[in-house]
Amino acid sequence: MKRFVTGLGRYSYWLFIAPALLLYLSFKVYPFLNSILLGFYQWSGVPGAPKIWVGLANYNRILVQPPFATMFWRAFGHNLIVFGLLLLWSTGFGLLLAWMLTQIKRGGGFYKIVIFMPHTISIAVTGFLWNLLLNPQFGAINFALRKIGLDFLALPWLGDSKLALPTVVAVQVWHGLGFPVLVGLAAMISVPKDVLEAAAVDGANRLQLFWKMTFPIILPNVINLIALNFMGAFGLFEIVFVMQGAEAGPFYSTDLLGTLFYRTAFGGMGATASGMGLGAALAVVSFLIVIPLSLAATRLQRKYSVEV
Amino acid sequence: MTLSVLLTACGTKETNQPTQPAAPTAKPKDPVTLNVWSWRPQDKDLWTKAEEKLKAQGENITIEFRGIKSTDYDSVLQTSMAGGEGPDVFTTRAGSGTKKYAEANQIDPLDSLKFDGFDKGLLDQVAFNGKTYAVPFAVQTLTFFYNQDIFTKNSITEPKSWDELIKTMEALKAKGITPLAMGAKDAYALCLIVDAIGATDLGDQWATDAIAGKTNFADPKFVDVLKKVDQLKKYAQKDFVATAQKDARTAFATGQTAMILDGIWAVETYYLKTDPNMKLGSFLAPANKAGDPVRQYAYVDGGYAVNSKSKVKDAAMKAAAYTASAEFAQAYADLNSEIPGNKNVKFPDSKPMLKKAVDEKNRVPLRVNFRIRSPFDSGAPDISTSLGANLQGMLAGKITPQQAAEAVQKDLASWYPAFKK
Repeated sequence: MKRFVTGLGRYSYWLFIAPALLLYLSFKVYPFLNSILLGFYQWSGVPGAPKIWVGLANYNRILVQPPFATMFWRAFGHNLIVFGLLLLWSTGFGLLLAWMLTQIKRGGGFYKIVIFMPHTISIAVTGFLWNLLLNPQFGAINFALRKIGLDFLALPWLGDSKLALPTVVAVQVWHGLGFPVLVGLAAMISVPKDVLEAAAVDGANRLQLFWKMTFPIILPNVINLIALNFMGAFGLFEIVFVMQGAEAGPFYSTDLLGTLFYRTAFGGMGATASGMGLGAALAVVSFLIVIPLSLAATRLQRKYSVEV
Repeated sequence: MTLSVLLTACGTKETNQPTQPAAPTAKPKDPVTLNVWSWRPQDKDLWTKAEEKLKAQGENITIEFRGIKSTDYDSVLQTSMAGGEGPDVFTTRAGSGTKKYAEANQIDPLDSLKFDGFDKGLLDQVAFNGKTYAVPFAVQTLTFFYNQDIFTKNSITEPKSWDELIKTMEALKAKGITPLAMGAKDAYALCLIVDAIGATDLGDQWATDAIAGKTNFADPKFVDVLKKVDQLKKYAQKDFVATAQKDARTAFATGQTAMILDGIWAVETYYLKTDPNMKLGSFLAPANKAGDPVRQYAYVDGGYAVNSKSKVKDAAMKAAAYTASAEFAQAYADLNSEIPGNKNVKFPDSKPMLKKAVDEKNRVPLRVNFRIRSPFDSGAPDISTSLGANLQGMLAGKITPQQAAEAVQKDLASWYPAFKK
């Protein structure tokens, strides 16, 4: 009897992980493998429509042949710009705010609420709100700028191909700034106070305290934020879709891999021509870009983690 | 994210399914819930009326209407159909939009319905392999609309030539009135301007030649059309590049601009909703010389199709049959001030814009489309996406009309068979 239970017990963990595993296999692994397979076909995405095996032709179209290759590399470049802007505005500015919060004596709670509040609004609502605020005819932003005499700054934010992408990223950062601030703040609070006080007694100024004491301790968290920025930059879609539409205008200036995928898979503005196969190949290429770099970031994070 | 979007394509539930199967012969009839989807959220009232009429005919059909934003519609529909959760009746875009569902046997042929009120040309746009797959519900037309009060106050009449139009714009501008509302943030709105000017300037022969590959979009004639669009930017409102078409419509409807180029659907849905007393006038894009023919770009917007997998097929067919009736068409015309597919409708004098649009559609239509609902819309990158983006580049001064035309041609030549070398 005991041997029987032991035998069953050896496999009983399958029973416990089965529900989660099934969900994971159905909703993550299967679609992923399916999209890899789809990338080798020409298919409109309509069930029952003919699927034609095209081998690596979709990958050739995306990576080499214009006009898709032009669109792909332009979108890829925009994703990199988004990553740079997120580094600066989300992680950089977020950490600065977190540090400032550690320096103030009163009102910290209030500022934390103000900074984190936008995070509770859905991204669709955020995009809609900012579209209103940035409206060139009646938007509050340009109205306020004109009122205070800064007419030259009342620009067509979402209609200028140089400004549109940074503007959309700024809205995204506004929405998500609470997270890096929270992570940064938690990490900075974990820095032992006695160590900082000892350094201060030894004559270290604020900058030295941050750079020599706090920063090395919070570095793993910073690397974590950078990795999240990277994944966020390459996964960005919703805010552009809400604010600029699937065409990611003006003149493709906000086109990212996500919006290009959407247009390719589901059809562009006319929405009559859709290419799920080509879209799937694009998704696989995007995946291959994001995964190695995300793994590298995880390794770096482990390497620099310090025990305090 | 891209993978997760693809993931949703593999099985997202998008709507409630019909709760009960149809039982057409049972008395009293079992209640049936029919899901109807459209990219026209404004048609909710129309379908409420349709439900009332069907109930009056003894059908126990409850219609669950779902209006989805036009730009989201196709992906939502495609995803739901792929997941086997599609609606029972839904709008399909005319031309290749209908063809792709018909080809995949996702929609049923509707040849059993009465189509005597429809022109053959209209039915051709929703046909595949000789069978009709959707009931065309609307013909859309594009035109310049103007504010009659502004024109009268400034002693301006409808321009008869392109030069006159430019002079009119100059005169208005000199008086401090913004001549034209432009929604250049929406690429589609810019494409409408090309359609309207191109209808007059290019004509059927050019469109036929382009489709056959005998001419193309880098042709000087098409470049001239883009030059005219570029010329108009001088007369648009400030920051028109960042203005969405709906805001351009508001600017026009509130008297901030004298003119706008738009589709007939905007009259009731936007202008008269904003100002019910607005006095509107309209004119087709004028020709280079006064007296030369002008044409109207008219296209079938879409049709109602029946999902071949519908669990309430009988009710779906009855609803589709009703959409083919003159009664439905009249309700459509009355509610929307748009031109329905069925021509057996009366247009009241109280809707002069609609009357004029119908008259122009019958008198001076462009019979061969070169942009929206044309063969150039059936591959990727499609003409609308390519033209829209390049027009934005042109209006921002980043590329010339010639370069914009060449870029469009290059995009199309990558897949359109007659352009491929």
